[in-house]
Amino acid sequence: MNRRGASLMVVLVGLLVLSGATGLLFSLAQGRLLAGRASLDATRVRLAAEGASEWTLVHWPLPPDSLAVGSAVALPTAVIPGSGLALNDSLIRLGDVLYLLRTVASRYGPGAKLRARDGVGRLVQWIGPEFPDGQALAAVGATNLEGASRIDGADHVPVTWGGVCPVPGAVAAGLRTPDASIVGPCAGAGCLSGSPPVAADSTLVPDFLEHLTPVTVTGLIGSAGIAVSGEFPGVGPPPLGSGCDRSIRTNWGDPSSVEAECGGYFPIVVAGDGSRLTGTAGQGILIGLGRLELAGELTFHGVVLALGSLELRDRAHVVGTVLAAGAVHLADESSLVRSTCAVRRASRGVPRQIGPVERGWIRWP
Amino acid sequence: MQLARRTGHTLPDLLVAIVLLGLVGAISTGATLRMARILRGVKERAGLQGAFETGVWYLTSELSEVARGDLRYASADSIEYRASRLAGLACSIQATEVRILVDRLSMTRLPQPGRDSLLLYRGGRGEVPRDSAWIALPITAVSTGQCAGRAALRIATALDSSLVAATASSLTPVRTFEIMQARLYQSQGERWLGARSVSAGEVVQPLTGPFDAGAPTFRLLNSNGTPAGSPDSARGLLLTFRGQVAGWQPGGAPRRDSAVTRVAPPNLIP
Repeated sequence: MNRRGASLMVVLVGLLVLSGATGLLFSLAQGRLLAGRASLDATRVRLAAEGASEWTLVHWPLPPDSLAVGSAVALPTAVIPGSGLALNDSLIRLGDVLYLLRTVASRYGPGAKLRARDGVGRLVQWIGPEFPDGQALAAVGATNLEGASRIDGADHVPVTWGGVCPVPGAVAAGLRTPDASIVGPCAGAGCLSGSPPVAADSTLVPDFLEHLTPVTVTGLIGSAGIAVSGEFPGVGPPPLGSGCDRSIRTNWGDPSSVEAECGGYFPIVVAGDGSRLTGTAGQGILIGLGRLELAGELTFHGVVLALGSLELRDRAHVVGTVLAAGAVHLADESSLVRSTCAVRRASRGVPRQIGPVERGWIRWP
Repeated sequence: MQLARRTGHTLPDLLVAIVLLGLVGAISTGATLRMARILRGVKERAGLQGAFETGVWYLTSELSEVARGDLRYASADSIEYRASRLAGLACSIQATEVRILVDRLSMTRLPQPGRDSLLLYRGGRGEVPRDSAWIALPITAVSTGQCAGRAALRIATALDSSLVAATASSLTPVRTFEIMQARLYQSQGERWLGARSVSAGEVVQPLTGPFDAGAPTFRLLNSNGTPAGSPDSARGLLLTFRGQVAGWQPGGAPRRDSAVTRVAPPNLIP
């Protein structure tokens, strides 16, 4: 009779149970591993997209106006070596100052197989300086007009700028001042015109220029491309054909025509205390750190920020707006006329800042 | 004559075999039962952690785009919020219709009239558009169409003329949202995390669980990380999940586990 023992059966059963348990544990672990890997990949691409989006906002790739409104551009793909991560940015200009930056991060496995993808959209604004343009002149100190000088609060469009300026707005104040009694008598009829000619504004305090936002006066001074002092003659555009050489310190742009070589050049000029400026024409933002005088035939289009006193003589003209922390004196045939278009075009010359938009962060895979 | 060979087992043989069989059987049975308990414990713990992950994933995903004004109500066991369902760029804005480019669109599902609402971005004026805002509008119908030769989603709504004029730019950001509620509820003696669409008038649908009594909890945080006094001042949310599984030893104490996560939606950061 063949004798068979039971031990073999017992061992086999035991092995079966152990195998089953091991297999179950292994499959559980494998499942967790796969889920963990998928979760890790998803987290990686999400963080990569968010980080790349922040990086691009700090290192903005294009000048603000280089993209037409409504157009889009795809930025170069970045690949992070060894990580399997690829980053794609695209930029769409939605409006004058509104942009959509979209960043997509993709993770690839062996064989270029896509394992995870995520993306972030960011709505941002390019914020420029905000100059109050509801007056021709805002002055904290006394204002005096002599001779045939005038201040005009109507919104003027410079003669050759019609193609780039909107329809003129409503007439605004000629002079905004905290105390109307400090305004000297007008020498001639209509020398101070506007709606109203003189507006009382208690918010004009001696340091009101320090509270310009979002771009401050300090920031503007730091961004200045031209610094002058003392007697500074010859302000005017360079000769035709020179290609708008911005290294020429007397080249302050050309307001004679928007099509001129320097028609789109709006520098920030800082004039030291006691500066006297003469010449033909300039445009942009002029900051007087102390006493500032414009004389001769000089016509300036844009914004004048006078941290000290301001004097206009001879046939000097300002077209735009003047914000003065000190006294203002107009004499001879000088004039100061308001132009919102000149203010707006001048502010475009200031380096802009990225500003957030409400609800601007979008999950966009 | 040859004697026949006799085979068989003696009584001592049998007794020894039986005892050995009993010993091995007892040992292997014990080991098998213990292994089964461990496996069950591991599986239950994996299930509990999976429940944590599902809850965390769902809430962080739902709340990732909330902005100021979107957290409508919050208590320890319930939160009501505007959930973003679509973000895109509108190519055409008329008094009764907004068209959204399909190739400039990110959505979890198509907008549903009566359930979803539209948010239209009204850009401000000038170099510093301080008067920009998102305007909420109803959605009365959804269909497909074209916009300058590109596929577009047509959303029927109602805008006043001033808003049409203010949004007259080439591409306007739009979003859709619905009001959602995530909350705890009891079912068969256990606590579950559920969610429902308040806009659609749904009843709570189970999401994940079960959890310990008193968990999960929602706590609104302000920018300092301390509890926020109101949804308007909230800059983040602290989510806490707790649960337990049976112990591995018979009659042993249950094994507890928890997950805590902080959600800081970028749109809430000033």
